[in-house]
Amino acid sequence: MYICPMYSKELLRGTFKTIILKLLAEHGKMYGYEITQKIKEMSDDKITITEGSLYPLLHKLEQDGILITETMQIGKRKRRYYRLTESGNGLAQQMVAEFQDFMKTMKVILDNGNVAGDGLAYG
Amino acid sequence: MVSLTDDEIDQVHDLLVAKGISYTALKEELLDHLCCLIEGQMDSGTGFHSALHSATEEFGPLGIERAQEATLYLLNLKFRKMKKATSILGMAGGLFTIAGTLFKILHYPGASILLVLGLGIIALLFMPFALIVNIKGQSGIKAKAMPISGFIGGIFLILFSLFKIMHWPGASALFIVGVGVMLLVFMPLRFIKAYRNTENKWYDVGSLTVVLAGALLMFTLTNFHGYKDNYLKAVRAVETKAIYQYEELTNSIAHKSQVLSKTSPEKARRLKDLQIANELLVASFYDYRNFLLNNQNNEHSPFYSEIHTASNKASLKEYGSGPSYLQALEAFDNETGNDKLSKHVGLLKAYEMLSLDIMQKENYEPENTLKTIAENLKNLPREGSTSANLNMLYVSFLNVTEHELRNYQATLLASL
Repeated sequence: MYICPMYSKELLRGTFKTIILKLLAEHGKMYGYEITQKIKEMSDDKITITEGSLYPLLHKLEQDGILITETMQIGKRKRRYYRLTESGNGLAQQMVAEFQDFMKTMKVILDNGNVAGDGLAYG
Repeated sequence: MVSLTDDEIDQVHDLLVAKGISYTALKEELLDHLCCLIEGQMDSGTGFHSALHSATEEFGPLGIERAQEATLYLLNLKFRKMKKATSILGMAGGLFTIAGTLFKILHYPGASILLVLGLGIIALLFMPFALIVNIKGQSGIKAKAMPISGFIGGIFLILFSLFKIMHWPGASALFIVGVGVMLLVFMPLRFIKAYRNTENKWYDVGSLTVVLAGALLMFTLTNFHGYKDNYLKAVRAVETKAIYQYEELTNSIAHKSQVLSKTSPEKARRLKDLQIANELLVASFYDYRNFLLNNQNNEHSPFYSEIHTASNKASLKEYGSGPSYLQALEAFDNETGNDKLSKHVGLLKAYEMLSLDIMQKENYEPENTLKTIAENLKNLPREGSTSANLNMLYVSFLNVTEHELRNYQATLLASL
């Protein structure tokens, strides 16, 4: 399951940061496992983030001051919750907006590309 | 909803430890993550062990290890640059120090500059950087106290060796602070840590004791051997020179007495007496010197640690340029606060008198003055009867004294 079943790694690589920030902006505080499950559920199993990608990213975002953590003791284990900081909130909005704009641009390119491709193929 | 038992959580924890996950924050949340995965599977009826198996499968081969690798990589970009700078500083400092040491051994110029640069870089740049690299990732004062005390002690000890090599003042203070920090703070912390490390407790404590003993042994050996070798070399050089001068003098006395035997047989006879007295004196000097040297072959004598201090005395530095050697002997005694060397003064004055008598007095009685010499020789201080530990230095003074006596004889010879 660590190999993404639907989309290629290359395509997904630049999207995880946006996805995580968006999820945290919406849900407040989340822990790692919760984030992976949420992504799976929302994408209808089309996008899965591996633990090997998720945790390095979360720790890096924490170090950069975008996220803060709080640890809760649950029985014998500890659960680390991540939350957006103020600057993280701004970054989340900015990245989501940028990505939406990017999708629009991609749509234009890909739609026109199809037309041009067709034109070339038949030309 | 299934909840894992404490024992099962421990099993998952052991698995993470076995896979080498040591970064605490990550270990905690990977533990939670794996437990959540396992619980999810067990909800649908799977047993703990197969759920554990498939949960780790989900990470992929080496997936857990990679998670830590990738996390540390991302977190430590800046830190890695610092590590690189530290290793460059270490190499530069180390190479300068090695070059400086080689230059020093080979007596090339520039050794001091290289050593100051090398040891300076190591103590003041490399060590602080290495300390930061070392305590990175350690949390809490307790965990940091050991590397901090170790590095601070190390910095002082490196500065001590630099000051000692350069003969700068304050070396002993640096040494005391360095060894104090090492013995009173670092070593206890290190032993406590080794003792608490339950798996390898006795192995660690054992190897630490060996390291400590080795360091002490090295310190003791280098401290005494260096001084002794240098000193014996210097004594040998002086003796070679003395033998050469002595042969020269003997030749010229023989030549002069041959010349005088035709013109003035009386003077020639006196010259022979002078030479006999001289040989007697020199022979007793050699005996005395050998006695002192044999007694000093014992490496534990604190003498070896005092040569350096002694040879830095002003009276010795001024000797040759200013006062006569007799005055220098007395000045040295004043500085060291004992009267060993001034006891030679009587002996040397007696010898001068004897020589003058031989050479100039109308009717001289060599027996009287020879007696004075013999008494003065008996009075020379010996190890055991006095408390100071400067016998080797007296050997040096005997060499110098002999040299002076030959000069004196040469002057007398010329006056004939």
